Amino acid sequence: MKFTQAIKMALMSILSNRMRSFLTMLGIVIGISSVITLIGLGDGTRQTITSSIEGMGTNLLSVSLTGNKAKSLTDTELKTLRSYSSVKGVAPIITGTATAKSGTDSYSTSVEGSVPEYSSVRNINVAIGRFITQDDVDNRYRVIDVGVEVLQNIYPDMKVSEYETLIGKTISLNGSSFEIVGILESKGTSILGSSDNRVIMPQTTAERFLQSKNVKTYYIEAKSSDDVTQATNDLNTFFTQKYDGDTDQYRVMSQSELLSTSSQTLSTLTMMLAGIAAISLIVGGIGIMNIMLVSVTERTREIGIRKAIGAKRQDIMLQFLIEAVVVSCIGGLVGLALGAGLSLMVPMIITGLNVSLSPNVMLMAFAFSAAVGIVFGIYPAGKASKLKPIDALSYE
Amino acid sequence: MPLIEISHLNKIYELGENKVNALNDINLNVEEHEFVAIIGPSGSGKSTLMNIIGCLDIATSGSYRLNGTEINDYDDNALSAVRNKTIGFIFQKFNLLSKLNALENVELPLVYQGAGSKERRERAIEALKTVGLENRMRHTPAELSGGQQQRVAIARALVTNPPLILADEPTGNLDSNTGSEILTMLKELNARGSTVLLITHDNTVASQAKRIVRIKDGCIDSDEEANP
Repeated sequence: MKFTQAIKMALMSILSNRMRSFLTMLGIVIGISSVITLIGLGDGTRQTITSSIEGMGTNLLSVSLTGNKAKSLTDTELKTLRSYSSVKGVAPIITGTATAKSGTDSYSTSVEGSVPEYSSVRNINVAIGRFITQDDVDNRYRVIDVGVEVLQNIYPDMKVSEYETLIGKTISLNGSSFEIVGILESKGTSILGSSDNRVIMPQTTAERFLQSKNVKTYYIEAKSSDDVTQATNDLNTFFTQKYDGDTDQYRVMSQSELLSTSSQTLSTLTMMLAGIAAISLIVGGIGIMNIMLVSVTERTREIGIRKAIGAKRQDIMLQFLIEAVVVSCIGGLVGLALGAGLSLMVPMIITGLNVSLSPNVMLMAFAFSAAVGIVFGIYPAGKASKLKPIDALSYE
Repeated sequence: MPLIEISHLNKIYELGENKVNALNDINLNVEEHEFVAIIGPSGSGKSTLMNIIGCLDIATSGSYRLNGTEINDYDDNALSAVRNKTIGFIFQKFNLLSKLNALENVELPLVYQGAGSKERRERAIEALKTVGLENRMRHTPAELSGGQQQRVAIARALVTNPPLILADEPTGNLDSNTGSEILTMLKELNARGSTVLLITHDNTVASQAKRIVRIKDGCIDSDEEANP
């Protein structure tokens, strides 16, 4: 028997039992569409996080002083760090939160106190005005660079084009007023949170404002991405010496390390979600097998007639196997379309969520649905093919 | 060389502990162009014999040569090929596929021969013309009368030009008028050169054949020329 003829037979049989075929497909449709959507969501999230981490600068390292002995680095120590050939810049940072007031409403914003180098180390650009200067730091001036979201909260009616007029104006944080010297370029919102809801002030000002003398976090920029490993080693050597080998006192993290860790975590999470969705595919496959078994019993007489007039085992096998595969493939295609549709709809409903549909994943999902048809169709098809014509013909 | 050559053929069914001798030392030769009726009451073993001759079942022991080849050694697939090319079946219950129309039913044996769709169509139409159903080609079995259904089945049996036509109680589900039409058709087929083997329990049906083999309790009781 020719292959095209076998496909034709299978399609005829599927069409002659529409409702049943549809219900059988449904399991596969649900399975494939949820696999597609979940992988899409997972990949999208990973990309968002990756790009926002990359946005902070790929040459970035951070040192956290975590131990109880931890004290801020002295100026001499900072100088030593800056002297390493692998290090381009060092920026200490103090963080906290403050309440910005406007009229009767108040908004919470994060406060970062640092030095001018912070701008290059963290890849922060000023859209309007200037960044804080060494002069600001030395003189403990009450000046700030403001993120866009802070301004949107305080001046909801103001247009972006009018923000220029705000330079030189003051805003109130926790009751004290600060002069705006610059407005930060927007970094966008991701599920990591907004990078635009912050103000940056001189380190010395922040020490007082946040009443925190100890700087516990330092950002270090490596010369280039090739120097990140060297810089990590240099920093480790420096801090091991400083704390007499007590590695619990500090932690050096490179951005690329963070990137691969988070990327790995998210991939694992995505695979786990997809795995759970794949279970429904297996359930769908069992549904196909179940219906095929019923169908074989129902069509025992048909099988007998076909065998009597010359159908070989492989002809019957092929007919039923193709039926199962066609059902699962159609289910797979519908599932793909549904999954793609859902993936496109999710970001519209939930902002901040990104979905990335990769053709590879779709191809694999489709191949998987075909495989489900083969795996779960082979037993019923084999059962059909092994029926003896004489028994099948006398079946009522 | 006889078309059918059966010697010392036995068929034993095992029903639990009991062994039932359905066929007991059968010897039968059928030459080409013969029209033979095998007649016997129900339970006589004639259906078992028909299944073996039709290659739907194989004997427990003995020899069955069809068209010169020994059938008893064949496996499932080889038997299918023999049925497809050498035998045209006509069943009591017509055994048409209910979802296919007359034309598609007649085409089916050619599908399993791997014939192309154009060739299948032409040969199936030809066979349907032979049984006078060229106007009913697009009808499904449910839309045809019993006699018409049996004629479709005859067309299906003819379409591969098999040397042997095996008719198992072909008139059993038909009224006597339609039944005799079908028998006339079988006679015509025989006159045109086909070997026809007719299995029945009905003496009047059997009397249409040229040779009558009576079977009783799994043995051949008598084998004689029919009285014209």
